[in-house]
Amino acid sequence: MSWILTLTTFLPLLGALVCLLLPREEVGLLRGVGLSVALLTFLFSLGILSGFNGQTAGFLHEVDLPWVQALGIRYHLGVDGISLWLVLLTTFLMPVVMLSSWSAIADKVREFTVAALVLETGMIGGFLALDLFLFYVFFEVMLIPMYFIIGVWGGERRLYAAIKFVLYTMVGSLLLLVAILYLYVKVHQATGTWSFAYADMQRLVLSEREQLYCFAAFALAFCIKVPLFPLHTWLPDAHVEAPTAGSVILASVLLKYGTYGLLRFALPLFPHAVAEVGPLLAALSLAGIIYGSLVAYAQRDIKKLIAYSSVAHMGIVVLGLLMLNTKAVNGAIYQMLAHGISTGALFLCVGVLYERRHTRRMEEFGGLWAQMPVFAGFFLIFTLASVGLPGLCGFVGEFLVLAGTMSAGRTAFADVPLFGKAHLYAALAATGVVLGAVYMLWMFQRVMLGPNENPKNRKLRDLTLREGMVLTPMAVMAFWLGLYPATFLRDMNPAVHRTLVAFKEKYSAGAADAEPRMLGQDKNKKEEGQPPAKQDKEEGQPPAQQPAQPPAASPPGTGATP
Amino acid sequence: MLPLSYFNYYLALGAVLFAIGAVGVIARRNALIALMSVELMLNAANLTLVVFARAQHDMRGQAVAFLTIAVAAAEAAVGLAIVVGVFRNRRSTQLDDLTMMKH
Amino acid sequence: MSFDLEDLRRTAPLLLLSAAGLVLLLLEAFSRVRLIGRHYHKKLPPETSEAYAVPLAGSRTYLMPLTVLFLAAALGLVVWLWPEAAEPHYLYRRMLVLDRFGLLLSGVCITAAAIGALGAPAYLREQRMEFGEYYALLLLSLAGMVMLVSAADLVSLLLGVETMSLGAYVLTGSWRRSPRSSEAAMKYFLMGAFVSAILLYGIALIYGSTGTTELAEVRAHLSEMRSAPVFYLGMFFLLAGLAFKIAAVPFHMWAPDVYEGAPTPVTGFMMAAVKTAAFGGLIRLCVGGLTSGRVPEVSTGPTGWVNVLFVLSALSMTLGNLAALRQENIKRLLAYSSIAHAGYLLVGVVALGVVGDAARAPLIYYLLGYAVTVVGAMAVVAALAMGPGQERLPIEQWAGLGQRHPAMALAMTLFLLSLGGFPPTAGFFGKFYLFRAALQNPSLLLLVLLAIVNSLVSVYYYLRIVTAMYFRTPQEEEVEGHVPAAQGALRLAVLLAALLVLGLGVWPGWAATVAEAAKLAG
Repeated sequence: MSWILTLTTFLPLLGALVCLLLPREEVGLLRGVGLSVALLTFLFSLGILSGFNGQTAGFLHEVDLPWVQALGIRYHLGVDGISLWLVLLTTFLMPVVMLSSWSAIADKVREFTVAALVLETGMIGGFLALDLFLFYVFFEVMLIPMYFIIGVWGGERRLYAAIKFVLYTMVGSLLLLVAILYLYVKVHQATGTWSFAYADMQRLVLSEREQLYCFAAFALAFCIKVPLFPLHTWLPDAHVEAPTAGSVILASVLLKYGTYGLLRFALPLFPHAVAEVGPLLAALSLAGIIYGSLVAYAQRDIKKLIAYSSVAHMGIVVLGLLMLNTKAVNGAIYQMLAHGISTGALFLCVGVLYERRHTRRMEEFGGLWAQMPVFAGFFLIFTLASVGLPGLCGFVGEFLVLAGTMSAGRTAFADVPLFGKAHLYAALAATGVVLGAVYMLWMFQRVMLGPNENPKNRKLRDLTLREGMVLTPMAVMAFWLGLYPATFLRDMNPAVHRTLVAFKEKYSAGAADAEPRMLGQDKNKKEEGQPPAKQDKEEGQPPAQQPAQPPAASPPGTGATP
Repeated sequence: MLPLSYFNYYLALGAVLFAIGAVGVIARRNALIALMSVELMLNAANLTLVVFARAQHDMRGQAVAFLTIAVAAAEAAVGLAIVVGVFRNRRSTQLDDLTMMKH
Repeated sequence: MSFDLEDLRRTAPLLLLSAAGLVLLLLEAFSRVRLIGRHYHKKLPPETSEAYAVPLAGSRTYLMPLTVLFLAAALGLVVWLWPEAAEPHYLYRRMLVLDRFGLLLSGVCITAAAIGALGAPAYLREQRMEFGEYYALLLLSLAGMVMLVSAADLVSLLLGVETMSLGAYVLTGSWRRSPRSSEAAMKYFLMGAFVSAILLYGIALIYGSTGTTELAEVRAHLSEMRSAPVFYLGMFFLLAGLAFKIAAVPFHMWAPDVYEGAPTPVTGFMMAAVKTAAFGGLIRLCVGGLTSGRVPEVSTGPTGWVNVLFVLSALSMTLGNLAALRQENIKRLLAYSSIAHAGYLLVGVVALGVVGDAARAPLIYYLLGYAVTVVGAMAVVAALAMGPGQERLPIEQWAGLGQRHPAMALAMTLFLLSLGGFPPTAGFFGKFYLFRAALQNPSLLLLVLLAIVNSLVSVYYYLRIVTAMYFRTPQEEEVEGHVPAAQGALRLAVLLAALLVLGLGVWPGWAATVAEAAKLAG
């Protein structure tokens, strides 16, 4: 089944090429092709689920082929319980997005379809890449189509928003490239082979200083993407100016790259730096939670309000990741999925309103409940999901993160100062959650309840069949995620557990003194054309362990079902 | 094995000629004069080459000087053609007039 | 050491290019050409539409295919000599050397020239400047480049530079009706001649202090040089001369004007081929002549060439990019971007001095990637001209091209992304490959970081063009009925360049392997 990942990744690109060859007048055909490619990709991506049995901690369906042999760059894809659901989230959302932009994107349909499909390839590939070079390529490939989606089909200030989006992301990603290159050179120093492999990078132990610098580069790149509090200023602009499809993709998937990158790369590769800078990041994520909620409360543009709510929600995710225990990290990933569904769906709802009224200002609306009851129902579901009502998707993740944060001081390593104030973190984060309920419900009230006074709103049509088809799957997922979290946690948990075990192993092995060294000893790697002279660098290290493949640990109870 | 001291006079002459030529190219505003200054620089370099060749009892420098004369001739031909081209377009060979592309 | 027929065989590409240039010159001289158009020295204002409106007969159409044929043959000879160049062969009493480095860079220049030549006729015809000597000069200039990249002696280096440049001067001025073109030629020529004199004087000084002009011998005699000040002065003069040819700050003043004024295919040719060849010469000089393990201070000492090039590199990329930010003319913008790229490439040359041979393959790869990218970009600029004398130069005129000329806009986007270093293009992999080599020595970390900050800055102005093409609606209606000159051959040129840019980016392995194999002699 190793072809399944390649197929899922590149099918959209193939679709994009097909669309490029179609005549641009054939708007209906183009939309159809776009939608069916996205649907087909979703169907194929379901195949990835096979092989996951709730015990699988490592990577499945791996493909590992040389790409640029001379430089040790490999085409290495693999999926584990962490990336699994993010990939499925992506493939699930793309058909929805395609369908939602059926009438919203009337101009340059061919270009839109191509951009969206190329973007999908980038997004899927990035989640699956296990070679840091490959990851970087996918990470960058996502940038340009998104730039086009914001810039071509966006609102009035789209140029500004698009270029701001690109420049912010580029700042981080170029630093990321330098850090990756640095690691790559260090792996070469330690083993004598050129390799970008994730496994090798994970075994590489650097000195504390080096870790700090590299972590800074990684964390900056990913925190801009999240976006973490002081780096978030591109997000409201990008969201407000982007077309609905762009906002949905941005909120549901692209932001996840920030947190995914932190969990997959930044945290496990530099444990000592995390121990040092973790409190700062945790403080920033808390600041983001509170700040995002307060600023959201002050917004009059619905889209901007949701954008700021994203800042708060993603702050919770970052906080959960930093707590480094199974419960909180599981919660963080769960919250990533939930945020993808609920916020994406809210943006879709705003899109529905915008298509009818061409405004997103709250004071223009009011009392829509009577006018558009079906739509109001959906809107209520997603609002409550975002707020975190039990039974809907938002609750599980937030609960797990808060619970994990509360207990972080007990479960994580004792000598890390990060966890000294874990109770305080939890309390502040909980405040943020409450604030979240306030502004979301307030927004719902302003838009949906009260008298319908604006004459322009008297003639609004309720959802069309197509819009219903767009929102229904999102609602189903919101309930599924809320009511039966075990579906998702089952396969997530072992992978999270393995990541944390590896983190702890690397942490307790201590930082390197001056020369980089490798954790554990992989005999096979060494004998593949190594100058044996390098062997002596391996002296004086802890007994060989194999962090990449820990014994299939029985996952500890996570409090999965609240 | 430094060259005998009287070679230094020739070398100095070469350097001075070269400097005069360089100043000429930079300071004079007429294309033809600038072209002549370049020729002066090339010949100063030639002189230096010949002097070094003589000082080292080696023929290579002399041979290079011959090559340079050919190069200089080719450059002069191309240069004059370009000056003519400019003159046809704007009836002037003053370099200060070449301002179409200043930004 | 007598004259050897083998030498002739081993310089076959050079001889073929020279002979082909002469053949084309003769063909041009003897072909019956209907006198076309009003002669320009009738006192018409030079850029009036009337002067251009006179139809040109499409004679001499065979010149371009013939040129491309010759270039293909030269490329074939390069491939043919490749196996035997595994070991360096010194030719003509050690004036030239046949090695894979020289062959590969010759191949890059020839390829860039061939792609450029494919696109030229449509442009020349549309701009009413059919100029028969164009192809002859192109080939002769290329011959100079081949000589330059295979120079084993300072004298052949100088001859290569001269032959290359003389052709380029005339090509720059070949649009005789355009005052911009002749102005550019004048500037280029004067500065170029000035710099040749500097090069020659530098050679004289090196000769005086080491007693030889042969690069390998210069290197061997570094430890017993007679007068260090004279030697260093000579070295600085040589470096300045070559820095001028690659348009590195502060020797770049000519570049924006010349690149803007020259006919667009010539601009592409100069940005790609001239730069590649000049870098070849610079590497030959620095590595072949000025790097010696016994006298490390010549390269890595405080006044060594590594430090000089380090400064030039930092200045070039920073000032080039900053200046490019505020350009409104696309050729001028790409000219400044070319200065910035000279800076990135110099990072590679500096790395050659510091980390050694590991930086050679990345440099070659980068040169190849850059060459095909700019040739393609210039072909697009040529293809989008809106009529005689009306090139689409100001960026605002590129508005809305994404709708009007989707294929050209897509290709241009690809080229710009490659210049900006986005994956999966040649530009991205080139940067990665180069920085990887440079990072092997921590002392270059700063330079690499500077280069990365600079590529961030450059993204802004490259995307400005993309933004104009896709995000803006055209300001005024274009002349109805004007079909852009994009004929078959020009389209083919753009397509070839685009495929190469993409191919080099997606499957960089093969080019990297070839570049790794391209060893320098000595």
